[in-house]
Amino acid sequence: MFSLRSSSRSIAVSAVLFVFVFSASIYAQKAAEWRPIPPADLQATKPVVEPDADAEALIWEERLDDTNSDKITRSTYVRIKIFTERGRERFSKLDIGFIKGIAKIEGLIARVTQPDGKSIEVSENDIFQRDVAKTERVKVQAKALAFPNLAPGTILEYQYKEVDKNIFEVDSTIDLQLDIPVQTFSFYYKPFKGRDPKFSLLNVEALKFEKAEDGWFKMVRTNVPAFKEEPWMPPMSEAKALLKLDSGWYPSISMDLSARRVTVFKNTGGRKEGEYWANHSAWQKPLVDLLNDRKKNFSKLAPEVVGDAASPEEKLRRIYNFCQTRINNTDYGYTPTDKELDQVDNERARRGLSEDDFKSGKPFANTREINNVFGAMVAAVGLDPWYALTSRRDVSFFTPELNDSRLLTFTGICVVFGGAPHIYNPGNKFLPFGMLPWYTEGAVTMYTDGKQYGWWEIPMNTFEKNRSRRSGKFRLTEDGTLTGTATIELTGQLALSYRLAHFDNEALENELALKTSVQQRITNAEVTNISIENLEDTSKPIIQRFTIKIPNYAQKTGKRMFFQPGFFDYGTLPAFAASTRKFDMFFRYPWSENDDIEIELPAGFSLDNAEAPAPVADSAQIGRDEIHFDLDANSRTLAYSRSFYFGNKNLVSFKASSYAAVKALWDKFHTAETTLVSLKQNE
Amino acid sequence: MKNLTKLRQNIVVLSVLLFGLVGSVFAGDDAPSWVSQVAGSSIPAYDIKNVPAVVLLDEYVASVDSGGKISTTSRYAIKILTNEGRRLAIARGFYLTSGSKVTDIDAWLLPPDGKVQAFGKKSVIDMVDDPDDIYNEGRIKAIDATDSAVVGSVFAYTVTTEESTLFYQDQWSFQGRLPVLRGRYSLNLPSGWAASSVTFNAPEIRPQVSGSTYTWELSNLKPITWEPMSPSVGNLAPRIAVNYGPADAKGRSFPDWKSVSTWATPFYDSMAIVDDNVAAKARELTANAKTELEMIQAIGTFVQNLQYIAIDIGVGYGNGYKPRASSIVLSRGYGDCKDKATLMRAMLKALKIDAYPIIVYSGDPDFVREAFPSPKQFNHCIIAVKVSDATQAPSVIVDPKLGRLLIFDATDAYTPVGDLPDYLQNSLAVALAGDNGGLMRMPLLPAEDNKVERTLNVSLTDSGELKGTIREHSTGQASTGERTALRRESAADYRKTLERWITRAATAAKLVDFKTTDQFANAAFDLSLDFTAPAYGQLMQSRLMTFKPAFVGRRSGTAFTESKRTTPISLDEASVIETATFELPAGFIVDETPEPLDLKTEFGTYRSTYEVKGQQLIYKRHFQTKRSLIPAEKYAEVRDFYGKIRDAEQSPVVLLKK
Repeated sequence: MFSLRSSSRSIAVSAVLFVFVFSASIYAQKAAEWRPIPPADLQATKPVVEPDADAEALIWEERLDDTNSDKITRSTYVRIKIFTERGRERFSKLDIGFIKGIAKIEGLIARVTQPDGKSIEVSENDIFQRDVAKTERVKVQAKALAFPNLAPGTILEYQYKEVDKNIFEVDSTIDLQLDIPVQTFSFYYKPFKGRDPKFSLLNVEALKFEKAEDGWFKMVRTNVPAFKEEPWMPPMSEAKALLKLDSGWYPSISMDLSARRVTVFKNTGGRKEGEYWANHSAWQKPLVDLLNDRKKNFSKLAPEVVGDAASPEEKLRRIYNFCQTRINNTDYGYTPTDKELDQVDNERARRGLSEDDFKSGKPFANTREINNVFGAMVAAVGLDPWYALTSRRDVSFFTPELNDSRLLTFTGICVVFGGAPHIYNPGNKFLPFGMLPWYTEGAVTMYTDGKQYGWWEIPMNTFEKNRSRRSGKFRLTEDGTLTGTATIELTGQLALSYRLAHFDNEALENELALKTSVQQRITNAEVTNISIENLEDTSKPIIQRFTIKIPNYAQKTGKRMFFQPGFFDYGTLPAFAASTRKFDMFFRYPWSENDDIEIELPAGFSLDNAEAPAPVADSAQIGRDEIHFDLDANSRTLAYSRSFYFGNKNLVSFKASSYAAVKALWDKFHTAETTLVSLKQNE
Repeated sequence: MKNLTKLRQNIVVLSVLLFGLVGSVFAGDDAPSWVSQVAGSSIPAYDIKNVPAVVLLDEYVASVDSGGKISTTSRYAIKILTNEGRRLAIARGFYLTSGSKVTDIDAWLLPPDGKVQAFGKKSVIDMVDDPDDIYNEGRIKAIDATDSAVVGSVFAYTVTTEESTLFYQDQWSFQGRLPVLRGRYSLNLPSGWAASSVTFNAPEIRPQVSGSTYTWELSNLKPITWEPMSPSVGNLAPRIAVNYGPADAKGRSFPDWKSVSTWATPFYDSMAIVDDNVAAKARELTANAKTELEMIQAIGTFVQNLQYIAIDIGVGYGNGYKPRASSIVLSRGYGDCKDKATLMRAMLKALKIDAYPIIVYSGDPDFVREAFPSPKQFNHCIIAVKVSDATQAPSVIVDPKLGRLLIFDATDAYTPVGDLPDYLQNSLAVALAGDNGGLMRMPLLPAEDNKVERTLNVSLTDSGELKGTIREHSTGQASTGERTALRRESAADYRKTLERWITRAATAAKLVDFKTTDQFANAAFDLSLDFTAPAYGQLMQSRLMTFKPAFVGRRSGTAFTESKRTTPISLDEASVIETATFELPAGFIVDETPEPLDLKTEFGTYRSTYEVKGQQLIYKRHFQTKRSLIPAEKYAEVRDFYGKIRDAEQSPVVLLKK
């Protein structure tokens, strides 16, 4: 089934209109349209593609007809063999949603065929239409049916035609892999005006369209396994077999707002590297020009903000901090007062903020406008603001060769100095100067002033910068209870992720969330005196503190006591449990953890064994976990220190073929972190 | 395939789109005076932290005319106290396309410092109540203000409806989990009508009566926090059940449970149609059955494996209480609970075995209250099969009028004939057997019929590697849990579930092989798995080795993390017996074992023992609980029980190298 990537397309998935009334003659005619089922398929008792499949599509055929200028027609024909009760349950119903007025369905029919070849068609009375959701202007409807007498061994079929008025639908991404194994997946495409199909393939072996009957082009995959997600997997577009259909054209007109000029570009007629991206770069020119045009609105303020800064970096830092802290950001929880809203007249709304708006206090703006102010102020101090457009690494591992501008989104204002581009996004309230969100780090970015452009891979924060520093001072009593205080400091991406996830919560909510996270590991822990510091102050690390009491943290035998000195890893589970892996592994960014724990041992016990585990690391030192124990006999205090990192050299993606090695490494990490120490009762 | 899960996702997406499109909010409007009035209420401090919102007013006014038509007006206002509470800023009005309608819905948002935002018709989204059903007449009109709501806002709405009532009965709960400053239920009746009520989960709430208007009211209700193993809110929040009407309101109110039976029985009896197809199918299914129980099992297994599909049409006119004809259900091969019970009844009838529909509440065995005879207390239908003395099964009960009855849920595909889903056990239900029908209690199957027997035969090497076999024999509802996991997950996912289970026990544990045997008819399930776990035993200075003999735990744990408790603790019947035999590495002797544990409480027992036999360590543990509702005051005792078990199962055995 078509599965579209953008949100609007997600809607379009459902955009199927149901024609509710079937006439008897039409019904009879449709009944003749079923394709014969080979006897072997009727008798089959085992799936072909995946031996354990609960159901298997014998035929999955989609036809996309784009020949009409005002509509797109998709025809679907599906035949599924049911092998288990689970398969029966999963496919027992068909439900198709659509937006009335945008799309419609014609000729939905369905049937079930028993192994003996007898078929039962779903009668028109058993096909239901309903308003799924409606407002005064929009009505989402659905058509639903249940397959009668479906059971293991039976075959269900359905077919329908979707007529869609959304002619831009052709710019779509088609799944060439479904959530059910498919024996024969056929995709037919009839492009507009008899053109040849323009497309690209992702994560799939070389396929091509072949000419079929009546102007159709056909692409066929056979024995397609089902797509199933795994933990720690790369983004969907890097794992699933996809077909991207291109419209074959690129916007050729750019409106230059500042000069009130319309620029007509050469229509490349396709997607040739160089010309394609040159056009896309030029498309940004009005936006960059707008920044330069607005610099006059900050001609006094910007130099004041920069002050005596000499280097470009220092100038940018001061402007960045000014924009991030002197404008109330409405995308991060700020709600303008009525008075503030009253002050925004049409003129102000049109021109955006200017230096006059800062005279009476702290103006408000959204992320986009804050970045624009930053760009304008940068221009006002004589630097050149460019636009940076980057693919999100949680969406795609983009390269320019993909020739797909849909994968690029605005990342920030770029300034080139010191021979390298630098990207800034002060509109993100919690982004420290010089840092970008993890999903843009390591991604390829286009930076452009509208006249020229370049490509640059944004460097990643190293593991040292994305650090969790954890410390604790505890006391272990003779009955095995552990009490003490713990502190966790987060920096880099760890801090940014925390701030973005928690900034709009009440303090109590965040405290309870922290408490819950501890109690999920240690179910009998009593967590009190919780505090979370520096949530708003990005110049400092996030600091979480709490007091904890854990009865029976140490397990006692007759004369010994055992406990895990690695408090912060107590109750954690191994990262990987499955023995096999299909997809590559993908960690978001490199990070490190440093633990410093002091545990005062109970009176009457002495250390029986405190053999620290050997350091754990892979041969390439991508990850390393090193633990030390140190006993201060005078104070009877065991010091536990742990130094851990993962993603050294920015290696955060691993091939599925290396799963066993990665799992083994992480198992060793876990074993080391959960090492026990034994105490012996003094005689 | 666009299955329902997909549709549900789409519906969410579409709803977001629709809300985005409709966001017509009028700032600067005035809120009604009642909203302004309640918005100024002072909020008390609650013991429970992080209460997301407080209900300032929850008022429901129903006006009944002499023809049985009802007009209702709901007024509801909350103050949002936390970020999580923002998602509660949604107005909802439920209606059925048959027989009722939402005539008006309006909402207002009063931000802490801003102007009143009024949400009118253009903000209303009208959507299906249950997208899982192929067709369902239940719909909701809603206004979503979650995007605009901030902490400190007051969100208020009114909903008015009109409907034709089936019964002169109603139920009203004064709260959900949120605290309520004022909850009020009012009934305006025609002259000459009267109302009476019963109160549940609270001391009796007496109505204030003014003419023919009855008003029940409670104020300052504390929040009901979620706590593990707590009863449902329906058994904690104060609620009333109301009977009203003229003196003679036959068929619309029920003086006793027998009258519920006599009212509903004809709907079911008329649909249990034994035509040729039904009879032939019954004969075909039971061709090899030698006993009465085998015949019931054959029919029951067939019916419970029909697809569950609900198509509700004419619910507002009472069709929600009427099954489809058994002949139609058989021909289509699917149906809902009523349909399945009726088909099974018809097939048994063809075999000259009597059976009765049972209406029951699914989801909470303690929900139904004897003091309120009404069909409105039920949401599910099962079957009682009249059996002879020859049929022996745990789910057989004896009714004074109907005799020996085998209770069976034909909708649950994982619980066989003879067993009963635990969420139905011990609940009150109504047998629809005309004058002989009435309220009865469903069987409670003892823990002995619902247990897991686990055997571990493992060996520990001198490097600490553990390898061996785990065998589990589950019966009753324990077997249903195992069967459900096996059938609901794909083969690959089931394997991963087992891998996660043993990996939780031992880092880097590897599942070598596994085998399952489902003895469905006997309500039993066997699982056998072979595994290895390197470094399970931790070597210390090459002279000590420690390991935990409690290798695997239950697949779901019980976590009483809080030191205090406000709600009772609800326990189920359960029993786990384990015998683990560890073959110890040569050259090592047992130096220490944990202390054996022997716990006996009124709600459960636990016993663990350790025995050394040569190079073998035999570890036994037996956990058992019985269905109990333990008051919150005894929480410490329950927590201590589970805490001691957890600690005991964490305790290691120490081996010493000779």
